Amino acid sequence: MTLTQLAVFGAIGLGYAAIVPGRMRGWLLMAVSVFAVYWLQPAVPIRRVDFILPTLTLGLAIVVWSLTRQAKFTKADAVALIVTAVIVGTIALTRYLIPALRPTPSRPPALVYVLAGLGVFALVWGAIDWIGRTQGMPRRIRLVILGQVVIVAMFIILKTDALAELAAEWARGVTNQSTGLAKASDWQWLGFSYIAFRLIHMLRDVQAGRLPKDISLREHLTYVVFFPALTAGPIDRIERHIRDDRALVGMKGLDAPRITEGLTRIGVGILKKFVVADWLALIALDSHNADQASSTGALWILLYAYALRLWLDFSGYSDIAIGLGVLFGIHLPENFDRPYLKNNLTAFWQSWHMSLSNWARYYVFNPVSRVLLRREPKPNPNAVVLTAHLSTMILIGLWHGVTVNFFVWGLWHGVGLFIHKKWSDRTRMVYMGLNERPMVKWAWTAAGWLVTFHFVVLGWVWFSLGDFGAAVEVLGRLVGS
Amino acid sequence: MAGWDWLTKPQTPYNRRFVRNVVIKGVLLFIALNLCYVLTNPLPVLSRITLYNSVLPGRERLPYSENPASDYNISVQRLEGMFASINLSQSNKADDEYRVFFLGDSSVWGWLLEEDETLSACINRGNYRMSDGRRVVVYNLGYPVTNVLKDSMLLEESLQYQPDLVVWFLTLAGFYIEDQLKHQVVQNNADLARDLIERYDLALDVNRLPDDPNLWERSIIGQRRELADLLRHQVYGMAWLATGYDHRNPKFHEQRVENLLPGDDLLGNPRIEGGWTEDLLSFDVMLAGMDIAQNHDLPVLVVNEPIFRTSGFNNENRYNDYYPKWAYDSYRELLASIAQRENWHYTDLWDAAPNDQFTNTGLHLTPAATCEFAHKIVSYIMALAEQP
Repeated sequence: MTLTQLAVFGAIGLGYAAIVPGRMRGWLLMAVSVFAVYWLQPAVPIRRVDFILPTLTLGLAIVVWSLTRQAKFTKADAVALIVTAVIVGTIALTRYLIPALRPTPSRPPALVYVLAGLGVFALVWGAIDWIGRTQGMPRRIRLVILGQVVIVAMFIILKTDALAELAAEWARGVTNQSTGLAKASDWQWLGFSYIAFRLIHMLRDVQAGRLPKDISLREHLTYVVFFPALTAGPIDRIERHIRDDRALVGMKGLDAPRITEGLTRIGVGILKKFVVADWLALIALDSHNADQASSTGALWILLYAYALRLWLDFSGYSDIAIGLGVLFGIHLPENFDRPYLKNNLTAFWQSWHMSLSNWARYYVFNPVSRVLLRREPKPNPNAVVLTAHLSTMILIGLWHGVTVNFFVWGLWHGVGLFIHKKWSDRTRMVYMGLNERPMVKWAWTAAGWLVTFHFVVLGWVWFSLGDFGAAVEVLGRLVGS
Repeated sequence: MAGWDWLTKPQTPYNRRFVRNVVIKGVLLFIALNLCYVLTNPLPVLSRITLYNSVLPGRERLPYSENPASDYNISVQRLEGMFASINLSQSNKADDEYRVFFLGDSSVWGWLLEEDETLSACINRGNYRMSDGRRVVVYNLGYPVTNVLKDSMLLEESLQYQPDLVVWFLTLAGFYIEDQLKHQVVQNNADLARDLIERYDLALDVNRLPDDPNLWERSIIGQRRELADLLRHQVYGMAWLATGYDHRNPKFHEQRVENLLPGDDLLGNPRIEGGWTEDLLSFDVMLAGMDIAQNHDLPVLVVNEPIFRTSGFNNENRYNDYYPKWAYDSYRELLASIAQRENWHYTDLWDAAPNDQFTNTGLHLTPAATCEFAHKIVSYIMALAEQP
């Protein structure tokens, strides 16, 4: 999100509650979010793809709504569908305007293709909806599982360089572009990582019978593509989101606490992301300067800069998203809580990218632990804890990209969390006994912070460098070898 | 969440009056701050406030970059900022230091050379001492453009740093009248350039310099680029310190041109019959620079720097792709005659570097040839410095 886009969204957020009647606010939120899917989409070198990807996002969201729908299709749902189609059609019509007036990075496809695409989508959606309604629960559950498989498969393709490159080659072939120039980075699908996890959350919850039964298409679409959280999260939960959404009707027009809180969070976020983080980026560790660092001390400076930059950039973006959400009456979940001040790794992961780690805890750690604990004969508890930590953290690692380094980063934290669990189990009584010796307790806590911080910071080496060998070499140089 | 309690759970609840007051105070403060900034014009002073020479060591050469992200450097355009960032202290000149400033173009700055391969670095590594025991310490004030107006402005600014000697490296291209006002350093220090032109009545059109900045251009908003660059320059200092790179040399660069196109034009301009005369080149600008030095009893050694002399096609008409023979020869004669007339310390080293040691242009030398040339210069410096 650029500063201009942020200013536009902020201005709408400031005024909309005062101008738009309560019952229309949710609709405006949906319309702005659907529009933002196109407006925020970065340019993609493959022709028309920067129009197709946002359209696919909306199509996928609507299909998942059909798969998870437990209430009747209402007039309001039909209106949501029509409003979405009209917005897509209007954006497609901007192909006849000058580039400055188009919301998309490149010229949208001809209207005939857009209409054909919408027609095909209507057929597929109709079929899925019909199966869901008429063919009984087992078939519907199979479709829900299939939906998860499809989303995970898309995720794997997009996050695996070799597969993404193959897909880019295919797409370039279809659009008569040079296949030799295909790159994995051709697929810059705005917010797909977050959208996929929101959709999987819904599919898993409907499968487990936990999903609220009365989610309208408007509420669902707004949740999936809510524009402040589209680019970089946080990953909200639908039941929390619709609670805020339904309260929009009674929201005060010009509410001083809401405006103060929203604008302050945005301001803090801008300062963190666009000022401090962007400056730190000038000296943050990357594969280029890692090679050039002239000493161990220099390498540590670059690494500290990277660690601070990553936190300020990401938490700054979360602040902006949360602030925008507040202006629009949606309270997105917090994503960071002073993570670098935590004195153990578990506390770090309870305060770093909290919405993702909560998601992973909910949909990976807990189910994996449950399944393992139910096995007969009972497995070793240590093996259960280790497996659950490893599977969760490796998944979080691979969520950033299917590469060796992200895998190792996940492994690093999985093992770290396991070691911390064993350590805290053994030392809990000792630690509790320190209450009467405050200086020793302080020293214990400080040592915990020092170890945790440096464990996390060293882990960023895997994260920041694309190459396994380079990361091993840098880690070696950091410890002076 | 605890971290945001100060915002979400205020002691006094927010109301519209609070929001209105915050907005009004914020706007007023912003306007007041900009007005103060306009009235005090603090950019020259702010340019001197730097982490270099305190938290960070001073840079080895003036900050210049075409690609800041990979150079860990930025082109600071105000002279105050340029001087503040190099390893040159205004106050702490050691008693045993004989301070020499090198002025010149990219060959002095060290194009395609690392910062420890430049003329000044080579001499400093040699640890030369004068007969009275003083160390010869050379500071690189070269800047990658051939322009004697820029050199004169740098020379004047450098007087605050207690030089004992200036070595001014020259080449014909630095004297083209039409180029004097074009360069960014001159444009961004238009106040200093205008002052110099008017003080010495130089044959340059001050109207081609940017107008005095208006109110908007003098505000924080108007100068946000310069201010951001000053801050970025400090941050890049950390990366420079960590890596030792102040300029990323390209992996591949064009080689000097050996075989030249037919003709004896000078950058597309036809031959001047009879060659250059003093009024056709910016010798008045150089004379102004020399006068400034003389007024401060500062000796200047003028050096005509080496050029590449091709033996390839069309060598009968040209020395290289920059210079046709008629233009360069007449420039050399003119410079020598002016130096004699003005009683300058002048040495013509135009052919002092082997032809096979030039890199991408007819002016830039390899590290080895640069050092060899540097040691030649030392003998002139020592001779001049030892003069009673």
